[in-house]
Amino acid sequence: MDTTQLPIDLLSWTLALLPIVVLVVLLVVLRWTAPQAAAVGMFTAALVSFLVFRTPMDALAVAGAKGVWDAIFILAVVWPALLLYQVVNHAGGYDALRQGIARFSRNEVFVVIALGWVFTSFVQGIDGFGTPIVVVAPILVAFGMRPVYAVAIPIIAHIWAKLFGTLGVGWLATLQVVSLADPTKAAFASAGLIVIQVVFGGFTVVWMYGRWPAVRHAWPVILIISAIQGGGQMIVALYHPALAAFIPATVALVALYPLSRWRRFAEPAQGITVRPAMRDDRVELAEDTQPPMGLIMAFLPYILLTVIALGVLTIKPIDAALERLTLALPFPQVTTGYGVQNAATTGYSPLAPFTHPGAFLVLAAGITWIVYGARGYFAKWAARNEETPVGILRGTLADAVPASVPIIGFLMMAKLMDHSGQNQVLALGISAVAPAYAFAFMSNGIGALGAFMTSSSTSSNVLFAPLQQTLAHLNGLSETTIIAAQSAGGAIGNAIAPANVVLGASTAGISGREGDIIRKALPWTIIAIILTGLATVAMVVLG
Amino acid sequence: MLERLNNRLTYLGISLLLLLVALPLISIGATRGIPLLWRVGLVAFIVGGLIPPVQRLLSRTSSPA
Repeated sequence: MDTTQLPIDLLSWTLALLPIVVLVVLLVVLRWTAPQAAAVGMFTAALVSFLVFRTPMDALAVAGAKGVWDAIFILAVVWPALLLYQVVNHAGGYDALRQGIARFSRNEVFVVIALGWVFTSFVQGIDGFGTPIVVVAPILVAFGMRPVYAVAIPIIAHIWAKLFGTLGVGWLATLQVVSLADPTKAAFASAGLIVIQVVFGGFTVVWMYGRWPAVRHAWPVILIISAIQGGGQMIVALYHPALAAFIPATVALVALYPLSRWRRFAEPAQGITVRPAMRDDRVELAEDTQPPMGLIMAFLPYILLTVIALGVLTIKPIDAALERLTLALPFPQVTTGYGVQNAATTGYSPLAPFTHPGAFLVLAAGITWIVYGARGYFAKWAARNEETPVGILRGTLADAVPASVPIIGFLMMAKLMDHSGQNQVLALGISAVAPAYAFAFMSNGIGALGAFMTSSSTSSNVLFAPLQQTLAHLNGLSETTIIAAQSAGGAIGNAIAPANVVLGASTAGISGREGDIIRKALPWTIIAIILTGLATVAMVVLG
Repeated sequence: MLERLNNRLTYLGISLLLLLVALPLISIGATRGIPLLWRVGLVAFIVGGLIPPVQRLLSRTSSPA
């Protein structure tokens, strides 16, 4: 993409930022619903592209269409995840989970850490595109957590596994778009910066649950899990980046069992009187309440999901056979008045439907539906609640449609900003005014911006990593360090990415309250960006 | 029509359909040089995108003061 003719001045930079400002103000400040805010953000991006960045109509159409295609990758997770949610919900599975988890551990903080942080991270190790959020949020709601926290906690907790998660997709994509002298060193540096997200994420999850008394109670387990996840990721990144998140996430999951036997976490925590994350009306476990199914059966869909995903992705012949079918659409070359070119392609961003996490979710939901139906759980649960045992598909539709429209809107906005050159103006503008060390400090923020717009750390890196590498070279900075900062920022930005938030809100039953979730995750995001910026500068200074 | 637009699932369903239908129209129209097709797709984008904010406007004007 040729960006040399783009205007890099304050007015152009401000106008390039306008769509993001409009989106944030409508969603977070004015509390518009996500479909409404996304649509206005998209039209703002289109108007700025057309009027300021000389983007012709055909380029606007092509950019918008590519945005819809990008959104399909996320929608392919949303729809089956919501189907799975409806299947489990209609069978009383979440009631069984709530009761089973309460029997498994009497220590609520430990359960929040286990489900909200460790299990979420494990799911991210194998399945991306927001799967951990849609899987864990309803389980946390069932456990008695307020829905806004039930979404914010897994979002923050799984960020550390974004870059190397889903068996290294984000990192491998980064290596496709930048040429690094020492990729292993860059992977290690990225994992080093991500330690901040692990430790800060763990402490934040516990603080959100029960403020400082909870942190005082749980700090040993937070540090142990952080060492396993953060330290483990750094070590594995040196040898096998594709497994750098999966292996430590699995080890942390296994470590939960011995940790749960520790007397400190085997009994209920004392002195945690304020629990803002938990519902006031939370129904405590009654001795005479019989759950509709056992804990293993309630966890069946998640066990299936894990087995299917691991089976497909790690057994190479199966993976290769299923990867053969790919879907993609052709697009012509489009050029703006400022000479920003996007090349023609015969198959834009091919989608392999059978190895996409959505396929694993469909399979898990289908098998669960059959098993639960055969065991009569739907009828039993409906009889207990005096409801008619219908509505799984209708419920899925009612949740999925309102979630799908804003996700398409966000991704269209991102592609419009990309094809018109607005993203480049934003990054080049920061670089133009910032001295070298200030640019190093802000480089992870550029990555976070990319993830905020695209709801994907992979897309952020594909979008900005080549530009960041060029800017690092021009500023005389270590390209390895700046790419590491971009990668770390690309993960952080997901914490407030609107599409992720919409995903979680839809399965937590709070569609329309996306702004409330972003408000919970925003302080963590800002502090994580600042800490990562400081660490980046330290890495530059220390060489 | 106004009543249908006040049904959230209906108006968002129409919006979603329009946004999805535009995708192949634009891909085929722009790649094969059929301007009518991609222009229809662009109009579908605009109408599909306008539905949520217009619905907000309509629901505000129709709600009692």
